[in-house]
Amino acid sequence: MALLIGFDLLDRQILDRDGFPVGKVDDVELDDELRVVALLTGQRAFGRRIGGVLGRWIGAAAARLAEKEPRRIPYDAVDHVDAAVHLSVRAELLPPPALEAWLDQHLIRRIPGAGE
Amino acid sequence: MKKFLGITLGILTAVGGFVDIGDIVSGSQSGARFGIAHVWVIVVGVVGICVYAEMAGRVTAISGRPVFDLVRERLGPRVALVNLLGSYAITVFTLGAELGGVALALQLLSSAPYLTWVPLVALLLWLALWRVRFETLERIFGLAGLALVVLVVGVFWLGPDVGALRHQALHPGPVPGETWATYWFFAIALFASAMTPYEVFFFSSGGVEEKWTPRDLVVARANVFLGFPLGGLLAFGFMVNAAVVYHPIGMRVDTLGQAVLPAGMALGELGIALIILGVFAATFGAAMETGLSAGYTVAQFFGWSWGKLRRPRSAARFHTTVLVSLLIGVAALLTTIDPIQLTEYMLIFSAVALPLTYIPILVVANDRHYLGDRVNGRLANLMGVIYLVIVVAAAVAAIPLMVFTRVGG
Amino acid sequence: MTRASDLIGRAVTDGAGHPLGRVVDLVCEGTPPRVTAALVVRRGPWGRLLGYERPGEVRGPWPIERAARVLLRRDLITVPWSALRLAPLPDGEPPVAGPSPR
Repeated sequence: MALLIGFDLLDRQILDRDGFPVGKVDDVELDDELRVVALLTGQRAFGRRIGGVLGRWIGAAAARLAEKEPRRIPYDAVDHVDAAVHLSVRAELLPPPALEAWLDQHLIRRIPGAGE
Repeated sequence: MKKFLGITLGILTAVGGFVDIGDIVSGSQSGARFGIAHVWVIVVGVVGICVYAEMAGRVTAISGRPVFDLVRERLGPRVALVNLLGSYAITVFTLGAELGGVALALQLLSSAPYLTWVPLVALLLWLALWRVRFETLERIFGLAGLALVVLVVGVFWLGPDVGALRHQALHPGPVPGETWATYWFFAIALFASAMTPYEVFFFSSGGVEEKWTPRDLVVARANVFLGFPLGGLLAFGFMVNAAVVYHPIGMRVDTLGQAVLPAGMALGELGIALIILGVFAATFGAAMETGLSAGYTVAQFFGWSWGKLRRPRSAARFHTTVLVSLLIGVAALLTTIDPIQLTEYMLIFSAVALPLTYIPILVVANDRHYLGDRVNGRLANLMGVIYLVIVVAAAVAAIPLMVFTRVGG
Repeated sequence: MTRASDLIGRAVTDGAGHPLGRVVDLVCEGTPPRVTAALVVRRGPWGRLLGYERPGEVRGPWPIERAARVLLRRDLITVPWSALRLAPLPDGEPPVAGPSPR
């Protein structure tokens, strides 16, 4: 059955093998033969997708957070697509979200009771 | 017993959604100025929120996903972002107003001015959202909010003129001294407070926090059909008390103290104690709902991990958002704006934002991808469309009426 | 490396340069999925159709579905990718040649 990139992939939630939220499909990377190679997620990918002034601002903010390039999930990590995009791997094996790590490091971790 | 406790989510959502500080005062104001001529609005609002909360609860129970998660897929990222920004702003300022409401309740008990209570209340709220289990919060505040039932019971002790009340209920429209414009203004405010968007998102996200599965569909529905009408009944309690005590003497209600006085008149010190407990629980519950909703909607838009069901270090962005939202709410209050006025403005802006919220819910509830065979039947779709029309009408009329009547005059 | 967002929303023409409309979605076949065609809207605003593009999966309520079809999509056609050329971007980039014909 045909897959529609916009309808079936873009803006869907990505869940890892255990159902843990990884992010939304902010964009899809295609190679020169127009094969779907990877899913892109995160602030930089989102900023570029939205476009316009707001998009550039979001992307620039992300770049300052040490997000050198957008979070890239190779398409062969995708197990199946239904109401969400389900991966066959665990979230730990993927590139980590920069903002989450930064906030955990600088804020959340320092508050008592943050994690068992 | 477990089944009974299973509906506390619905009760909490309803209590926090229906009897927050805005409802308390607009219900009381409406009762004082129009008698119970707006009772039909409460009924319409209760039915409307039941229709949409049932859809949202069903989507969550069957698909395991919260409803707002799906809004971006349906509307696309740009439109959904505008939706998010609008509803975030409204939710956060409503959070400020609820914190103000809690502080006002404490002011009634202690005579210390409400602003001095604000930082303490905000800290308590943050602690509750940081560490206390979701179910525990639900049970404590949902059940304590039921103390407000004293309002409904107490009415009988006040010697109400039943004939006059019946007349007001059956003749919707302005009473002498009021105009159709102010009548409809209050109608929209009451309707918007019944159907505030954050209620549905909170309810649906709460279902995920409670780990609903398709077997919990019955629980989800019980939550909706028992919880929300109960909330409506409590909102009506404020209206009818004001209608019985203040309307006959032509006095307006502008403060929380006036809104709770009738319960004291009916049942003495016990009445006052119960109603202040109830108001505290309802406004604190509403503050929790709005605080969590602010976090839920942002996190679900961007696809972040979220929820109290995860330890904070696994949901750092979500918890940071909740914290930032709390701080913005506190900052809004510290400008010394009257919390009651703040809520009234927020109600009108919520009315404008309603269609953008409810259209995607109706669409999603028809999607077989998420719901399989449990998509909307004819009745759900019929009711959904009817209410969408009402919601759009309210959205269009809200701001012109606010301007024309100078916020109710 | 192209991104889907670079293609979706782009104005496209046929092989002879006549404008066809704007790309609304990309149709893929096979494993791994490869773009074989585009959904193009000839006139009218481009936007998400709330999910009604795919008949059978999202159905009704009928007033919304009707309104969505009327307002958001007037003329939706499927064009094989090899028959398309991407029109130049507004900031004056030269037209990108269509994908290598297969």
